[in-house]
Amino acid sequence: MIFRIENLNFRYNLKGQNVVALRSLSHKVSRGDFQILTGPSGSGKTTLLNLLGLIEPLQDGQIFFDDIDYKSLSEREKNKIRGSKIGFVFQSFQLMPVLTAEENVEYFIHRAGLKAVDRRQRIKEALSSVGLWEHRQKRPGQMSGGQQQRVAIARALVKRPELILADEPTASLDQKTGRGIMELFRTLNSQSGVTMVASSHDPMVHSYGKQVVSLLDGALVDVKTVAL
Amino acid sequence: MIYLVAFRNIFRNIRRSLTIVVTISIGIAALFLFHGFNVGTANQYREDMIHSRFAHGQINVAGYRENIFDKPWLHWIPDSRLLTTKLREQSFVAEVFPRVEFYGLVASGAKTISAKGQAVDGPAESRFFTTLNIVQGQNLSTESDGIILGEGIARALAVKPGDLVSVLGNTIHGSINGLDLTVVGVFHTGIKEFDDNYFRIQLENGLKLLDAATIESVSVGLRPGHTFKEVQDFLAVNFSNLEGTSFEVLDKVYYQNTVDWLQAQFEFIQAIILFIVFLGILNTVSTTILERKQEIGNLRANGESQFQIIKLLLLEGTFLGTLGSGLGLLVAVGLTWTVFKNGIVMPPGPGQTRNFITLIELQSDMALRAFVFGIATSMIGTIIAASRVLRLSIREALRGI
Repeated sequence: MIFRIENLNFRYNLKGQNVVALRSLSHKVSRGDFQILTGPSGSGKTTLLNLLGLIEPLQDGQIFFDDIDYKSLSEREKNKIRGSKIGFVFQSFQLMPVLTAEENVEYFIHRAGLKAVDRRQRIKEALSSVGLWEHRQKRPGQMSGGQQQRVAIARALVKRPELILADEPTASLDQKTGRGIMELFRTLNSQSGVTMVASSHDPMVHSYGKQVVSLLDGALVDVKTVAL
Repeated sequence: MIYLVAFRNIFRNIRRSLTIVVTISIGIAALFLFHGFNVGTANQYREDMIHSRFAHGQINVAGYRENIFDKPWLHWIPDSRLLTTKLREQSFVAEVFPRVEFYGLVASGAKTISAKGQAVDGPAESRFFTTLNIVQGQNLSTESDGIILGEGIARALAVKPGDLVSVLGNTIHGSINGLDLTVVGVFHTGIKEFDDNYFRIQLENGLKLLDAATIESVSVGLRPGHTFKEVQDFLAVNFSNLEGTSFEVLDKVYYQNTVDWLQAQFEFIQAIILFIVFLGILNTVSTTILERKQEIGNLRANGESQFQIIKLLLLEGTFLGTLGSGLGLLVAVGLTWTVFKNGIVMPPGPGQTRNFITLIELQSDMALRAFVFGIATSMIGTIIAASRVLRLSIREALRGI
């Protein structure tokens, strides 16, 4: 078990008004899962991902990550978990434009205390797994959107995380490129055993998950297991 | 790695980085130049003062200057010949000027005015007091019956070089005495009080007029690179009954107050310049950082602590501050060697009536201070701008709110 979510509630305060983002949500994510969160805009997909990724503070309810209670974590411990156990992939790739693909990947492990040779090996593995080792010297501006998203995935992978959280990872890409990214996620999940939780309302993306988790108005309404 | 990223980020938006660098460099150049200008002004003023009136300082019997005596000649330097001889043997001494000051009347025809006389060693004083501008005739040198008058006195008496004047005064025994002298020149020191009240005659004539045999004071001109402290130390060892007073103290009203005033003005202007630079940096860095909100959000989502992000941004600010400060110093040096090479014509200083030329005198200690100020201001501006972004939650930063 990676995540155990119990009775999760979350509200945003928007201009003095409380907006409910999640309500009484309980759920589980097991090791090796590939879950796709789906639902219309405002259904709570991103909020749930943010809570799982320690980006939002817990308000009400509980999340256990490998039996660690999120509520018990200090800011330093949260940073440590975000920096080593969880990889993030966002809709906008958020690469550093001044760094090459290789340097962008390296930046996220430069404080990991690895020897240079080990660091280099990890970077090579990560970039090779997304098919970009040959393009490692290119800067983001010299790459297509799909390649940039692959670098972002390599950047998440290089930490050797237990979990990758991907928020609308294909939303900025055309259908063909998006499909390629999802193929990559599926390969990583099946071959490397990395647990994946991605959000998307694109039906194409749903077909790549092992489970499709439907949210509506902040509540979990359905969990479907996809036949592969 | 963090140094590489910080360095490369400088070139991320060249125009904005240039704006920051130029803002800092203008401020630092202004600071450095203004300090050099102040130093130049103070030094020029100092040299003018030294070579117009007091030399580097004056020797009297201890306590003479602080007291008023009924019979001051009883408190004059008893063996001035030994003093001047020993002083001339010292390596730090360029010239010595035995002097006697006295009150008297200067008369020409029907006009008589009271004035203050200085009996001086004409040949020696004419060599040293080069900023004693002679506006008519020549300086008092070897003319045994010569007198030079301040411009104000000459104008009041309507005399010119070659005219005869009478100087009347009291001897130290109380009787009236007089000298008939020939005007050899009219001087202009630039200090109105001096030009309107003083005249100079030969030391021998002064002593004759006063019927005195001792010297009131000995002024000392120093060789370059020496300080009046050396004279004071010499006196302490060899003439403990005498004391030396530097010209800064003798001329506190004009010189020291002017220097203090310039320094206070500099510190105020420095604060304004640094504040303007700070605001410029804060504004530009804020814009830069706010545009990178999502990137910062991403870094934090991936485990970078606020401290690590501040460190990255601070490094960028430090690089820009270093570049800007270095460039500012170069600009200041360049301007000093070109545009300001011949100095700046300044209006008369306090107590003066003539223009003078100020050279920009750049100081290495100020270069270091300005350099550090530039970097520190850039760093503080960066921290304040960055702290505004770091106060956002990671979600807000990622959404670029």
